[in-house]
Parts: sequence; structure tokens; C-alpha cells
Amino acid sequence: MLEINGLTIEFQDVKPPLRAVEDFSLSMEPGEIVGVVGESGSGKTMTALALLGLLKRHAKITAGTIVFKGKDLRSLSQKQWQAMRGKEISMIFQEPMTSLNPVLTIGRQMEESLRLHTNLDRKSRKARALAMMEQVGLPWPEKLYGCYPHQLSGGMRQRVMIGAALVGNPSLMVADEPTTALDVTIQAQILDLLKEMNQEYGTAILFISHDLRVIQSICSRVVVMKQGQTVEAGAVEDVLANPQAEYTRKLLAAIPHRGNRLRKKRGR
Amino acid sequence: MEVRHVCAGYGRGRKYRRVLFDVDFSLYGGEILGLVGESGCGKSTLSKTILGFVSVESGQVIHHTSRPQMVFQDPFGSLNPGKRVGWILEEPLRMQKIPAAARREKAEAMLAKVGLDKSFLERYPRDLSGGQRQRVSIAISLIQGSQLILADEPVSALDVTIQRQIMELMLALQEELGLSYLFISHDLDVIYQMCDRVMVMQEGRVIEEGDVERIFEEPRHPYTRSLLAASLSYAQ
Repeated sequence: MLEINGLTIEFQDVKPPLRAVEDFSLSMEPGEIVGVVGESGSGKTMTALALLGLLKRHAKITAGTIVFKGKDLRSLSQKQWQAMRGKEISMIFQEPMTSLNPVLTIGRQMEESLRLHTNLDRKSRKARALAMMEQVGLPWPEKLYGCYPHQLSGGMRQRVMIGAALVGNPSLMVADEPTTALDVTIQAQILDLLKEMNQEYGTAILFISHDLRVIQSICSRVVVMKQGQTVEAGAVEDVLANPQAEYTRKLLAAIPHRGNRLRKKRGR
Repeated sequence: MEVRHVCAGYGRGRKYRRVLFDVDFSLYGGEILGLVGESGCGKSTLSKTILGFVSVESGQVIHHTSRPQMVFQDPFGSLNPGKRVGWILEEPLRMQKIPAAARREKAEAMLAKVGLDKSFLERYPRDLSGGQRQRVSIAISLIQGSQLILADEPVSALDVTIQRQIMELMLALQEELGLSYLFISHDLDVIYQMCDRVMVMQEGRVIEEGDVERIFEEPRHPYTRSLLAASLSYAQ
């Protein structure tokens, strides 16, 4: 379904150009959940933005191909991108407060992709949006339909984002740190919701995170990135149980976990 | 430090809203006390109350050492962007009218303690990485000789490998200087690795308190159990 080969992205506003992503390759099957893990500056978000044609002007793809359902995404015009985004590929972000439009109602944002990509009339759009809101676990959809983002909690806003991203039934959803800003109990709920939606609609998810604990809980395969380079890739169990790259080992060793107390002496 | 039956909140008169309900605990010398809870539970209000930024409605906060210092989650927001690291570090000393040469010497020594060489004195906060900035904020919190540090999500904004370095630095400084920390975090695994004792807060109340091992192995309160159940733990 998705085939990325040798993707290289450079920032061209500095001299010499800075390589944000170098020779990145990944293939994804329909319905798969694949993780991309890395620390800040690893190029994981740039890769995601390239998949949606959302790279800033000074960031350019200088080599490689991205083929999605047989179409070369690099050759798309601005107009063709607009037909693609939301319909075929959608994205959810870390901070739903900044990525939801603060002056539009929840209902309107839920329907955005239906308005752009379908011929549904207002009534059926609303019905579809309300059904979606119910599915992503938003309470009282009728009431929330007319609310604004600031009236919702962080977890609810993230549910709205997921609903709005799925309402057009895309084949691929790119999720960039979708649970990082949330409390643990809400994080667990959102991860469950993503898994459920993946099962229900067969939407493939490219899940970007710095947190291997989250990747471990939701992905089947993982790509480890560092400073634009792919360090290691494989099935999640293999990479976590038997990391090949030095950097992956370092990353694994640094994960906070309950088998290893750093505090040796206890104070009093 | 002792916090005795503290109730506190925001607003005045009719608009007053209580945020802390009868919070009562001691923090002993050389101890690392973890504080865990979800957003809005009153963790940050508690640290502001300890520092005196929020006044208590009833109860009291008793300091047995000098005024505690604070380390924040986002060191970029708390470092003056227009000044060099040296200037920022020396600020509290300048207010005490310590002569320039002695100030500089102290700032340099403090930087060394947090693992930065003296070239950092001349740099601006924007030139530092997240981990380096957090090292600078730790140096600032220690430069007046405070024994008690309130650390509000000090590693939450950092990459895991950097997170680990800062945790190790804080532990080493604790041992070297005999500091006490009130360590606030939403990450239960970080709390487990760092702390001696934990308090769990929910809706402005401390609902459970105990040694780290006890809380993680035999949580008593249903809310503590649900937090532990929800948190993802790295399974090796």
C-alpha cells in the first residue's frame, strides 16, 4: 500500500544544506500499525510531514520515492494533494489544542473531510459525524456537536482529532505523538481507541513516538531513527528483545522501568 | 520540611475555589519524595504553596532549612533569554552583594558540579540543548546552598537518553550534598526509579502515601491501582 524508498529530506535554508532524513525506506501493508521511534532531531516528524505533502518550503525532498497505492506522491500537484489529504491519508498531532481550529465548532471540524471529499448533503454529513463521535467515545455527541475545542478536556480533544481523521475512512493515518501530552489513564484509553479503530476500519497507522513503551503496546513493526538515519527496523518483539544497533540498546537501557531502581541508597 | 493540614486555593471571596484539601506530610533530610497524580490534581499548586506563591487558607508549611528552590519542566521558559548563563547563575548572588570575582568563581564551580565546563558561562539559553538547559536550572537552584529542591516534572520534556542523564545527575547531587527533593512527575516509572517514598494525589487530596516498593507492589487505594494499571511499563 505504501512504499517509501531512499527518502532524503534536506533543509535548504542553511549552508551547507542540512539532512533531516537520509535514505529512509519503509513499506506498509493495509491495516498495519508501524512505529517510528527516535529522539528529537531524529527526522521522524519530517518523514510524517513528507507523507502528507506538508513539508515547509525550505525543507525539500532531494532523493527517493514515496509510492502510495501505486501513485507517486512526489509528483502530486497542490490540488492533487488536497484531494488526497483527509480522504486517503490523514494525520493526528500531539497537541489537539493547537491543531483543532479554536473558532470552529466540533461538529464542523468532524465534518471537514466529508465536506471536501464527498457529495453528502448537510443532514447526512451531520449524521455521519455524530455516529463517528459516538464511536470515538465522545459523550453526548448531540451536545458536543455545537461546542468549541476550548470547552473540551485534552483527552476529549484528542478523540475529536481521531474522529475527524477517520470520518473520511482513509487507508492510512499518520499519528505524530498522539498520546504524549495526555495523562496516563487517558493515554491508555486513546491507545485502546486507536487499536479499536484500526480493527474496525482497517486503517493502517504510522505511529510516531519517542516513547518505546507506547510503541511496544500498539505497533507490530518499528523503525528506529537517529539524526535522520535509520538505525534499525524490524518486528517490535525482535527489536526490543534483541536489538542489533548500539543506539537501540542505549535507547532501551534509558527507558524508565520498574525492574531497575536508580536510587541505590535510601535517604531519611 | 513539614506541611501540616494545608488547605489552599485560588480566587477571593465567593469566587474562591479550594484546590488542596488537608494535605499533611513531612519531607525528611536527604529524602526523595515522589508526588504523582494526573493533571489538575493539585501537584503544582502544592509546590507553589510550599514556596509561598499561593497562600494557605488553613494549616501551615514549616521550613526547617532555608527557602526551597524550584526546578521546572521547561527550563527555556524559566531562563532569561536575553542574558548569558553566567549572568543568570550569578543573579541571586548579585542580590546578596557578593563581589564579582567570588560570584564568578561560585558560578563556575556550580556549573562543574552539573557537568558543564566554564565556556557555558558565556552562552545564551537558546544555544543550549534541553538537557544542558536543565543542568543550568539545577545549578541555579543549588547556587544559594538550598537543601530542598522542588522539582516539577524536571525530566518530562526531555528525550529518554537525556532524561536518564538528568536523573543520574540529580541522584549524584543528592548523595554528594545531602539534598532533599520533592519530585513531581506523572511518569510512574520515573518515580519508581528515583524516589524513596511516594504520595499519590487525586482531586487535591493525598489519597495514598508510602515507600516506593510498597506502593508499586501493594497499592491500597483504588485510584493508585487504576493509575498503575493504566501506565504502560516497558516489558523486557
